[in-house]
Amino acid sequence: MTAGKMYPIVVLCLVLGLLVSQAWGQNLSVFPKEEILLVGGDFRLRSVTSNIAGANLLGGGESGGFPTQDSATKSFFDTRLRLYWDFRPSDLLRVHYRMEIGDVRFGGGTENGSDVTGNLVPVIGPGSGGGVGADGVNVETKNIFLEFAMPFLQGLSFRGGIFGYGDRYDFNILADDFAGFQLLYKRGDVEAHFVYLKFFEGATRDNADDSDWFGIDGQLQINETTRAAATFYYWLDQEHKGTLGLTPYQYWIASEVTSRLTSRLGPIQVRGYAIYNHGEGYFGRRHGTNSGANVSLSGDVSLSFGTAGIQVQYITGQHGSKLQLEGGSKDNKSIGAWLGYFNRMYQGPEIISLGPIIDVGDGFSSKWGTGNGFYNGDYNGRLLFIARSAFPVLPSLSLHAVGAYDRAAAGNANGDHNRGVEFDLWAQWNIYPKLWFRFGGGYYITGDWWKNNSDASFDGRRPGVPHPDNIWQFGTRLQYDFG
Amino acid sequence: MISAKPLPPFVAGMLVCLGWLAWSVALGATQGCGSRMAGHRYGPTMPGGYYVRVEPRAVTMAHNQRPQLTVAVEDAAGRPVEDVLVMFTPSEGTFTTGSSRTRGGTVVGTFVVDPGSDSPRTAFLVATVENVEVTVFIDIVPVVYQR
Repeated sequence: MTAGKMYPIVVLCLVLGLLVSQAWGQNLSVFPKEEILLVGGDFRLRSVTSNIAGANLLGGGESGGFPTQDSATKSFFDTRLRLYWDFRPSDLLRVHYRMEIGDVRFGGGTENGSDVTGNLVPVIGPGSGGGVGADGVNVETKNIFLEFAMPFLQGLSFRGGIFGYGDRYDFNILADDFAGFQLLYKRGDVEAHFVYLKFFEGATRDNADDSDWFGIDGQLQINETTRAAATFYYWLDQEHKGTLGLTPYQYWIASEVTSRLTSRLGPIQVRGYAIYNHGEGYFGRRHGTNSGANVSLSGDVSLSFGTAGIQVQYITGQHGSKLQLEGGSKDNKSIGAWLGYFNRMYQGPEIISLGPIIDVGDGFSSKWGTGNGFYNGDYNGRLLFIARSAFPVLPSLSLHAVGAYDRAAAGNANGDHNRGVEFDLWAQWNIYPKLWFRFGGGYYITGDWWKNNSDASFDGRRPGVPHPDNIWQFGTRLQYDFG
Repeated sequence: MISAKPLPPFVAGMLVCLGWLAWSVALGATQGCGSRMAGHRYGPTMPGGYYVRVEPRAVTMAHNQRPQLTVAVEDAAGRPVEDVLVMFTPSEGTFTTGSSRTRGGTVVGTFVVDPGSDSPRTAFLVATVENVEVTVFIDIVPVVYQR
């Protein structure tokens, strides 16, 4: 089914829903006038200092930074104000609008970058902003959508417009604001939704695919302590439809189990998931198929003095380099590696994921890499061990420490597996209710996998640097949430 | 002769989607029919012989939201039971109630959590009535996520 055929269905659903709800609306409970309009938002002031300044747009921008040799240090500030308005004439109907002012960087010599979702983050230079005393603002609409409860089935609701979406596995294939609609069901032990999202390429994004996403997700509370979930996502690449005689697609089938176990130390939250991915697309200039899996198991124990946890994550990969795997004379390729187009699913560490300290793309969390959707442009997969802990040392202050060992599931072209080791330390200080300050840093010791590795170069073809620097970054974030 | 043509992956996927959604909705609709609160009834507790329901059973929130949860205590016939102690233990944050004992058969509380992290995470809240513990998993996601 094409996107063009989907629109009449969407409109039909809307009209039917509105017609039925109009007749049913006689019995709506209406909120008092003062509760109809809710206003809120947050203000953020953030600083970032790191030595991942060598990343450029060709290499995926700062979201796709690779370790380089003798990297320069970079430092900048940015500010952001987000505001939202919620119009709720009753508890069955809601119109939401969210806007953003800012997300503009201030810092001499800082290049334009991309934020964690791939959107351009311009630096307003002296004259129009950025310099001391200069102006520079950036206003955008983040969300605008209508949501209402469907009258014919309790627990069923509809949402349509521009809204953000994040999947339960945190590989965040979307995790941004896109046009679409969602049918949600929530009642008793069941929660489920169907979502359709359209990725438009053009005015608001210059790096998005013109594509359609379909997803369905269901969750069931099995018993007192365990829940299970299943998910299916399907991605249709409209941008390359018809090229080489095919329409590229990908699908993901996933399942997750979350449970609370008891132990002598305290309750343990155990979470495991498995995702299988298969698709058809382009590898180099050739047509091919890909299949891969991503599995994770984690456990976090709540102690009297804090929490401690571990996570193991394995993503299938294939030996070799992008050049080797995509090259040769065969027209058809079969790649045994996981694919995640907006891949940021390395929960925990700061640098090898989009971490909790500064939430900026100054890491290896490349969704673009060398342009094929595989993590950082390579096909080698991942094996990740994470240890994490959090300690509330004061009622208003908590310390967080994370360590991770990062290894490729399969060797690169040089036969190397060791990607590196990362350590993070950060603190959260809740100054007042809703006003908080977060600061900390991360250090990543690069392993042999990065040395002379073409997959770790900006175009995926040239050799990488022979002696990549270790990577570090330090960030602060002051934020006030209101509403 | 009828020639069988394999379903395109998209169509097959959509059928799986719709089947899953229909199954979920049907399952949810049959749960808690005729009761004040939907969802599974846990118990009986010891020694009181009460039954416990928790609503909602699935919570997704941003750190700046304050979701409400209700614990209902009833007898075997489904009648609300008064003055039963309900305890709450969150893995993080706080859960505040007006009363720790049931009034009108329920205890209602509000969950509040610190920002903590921008990465999605899952907390849990354990509601305890005598020897029965019911866990509610709370997905804490960035503000912009609308899942």
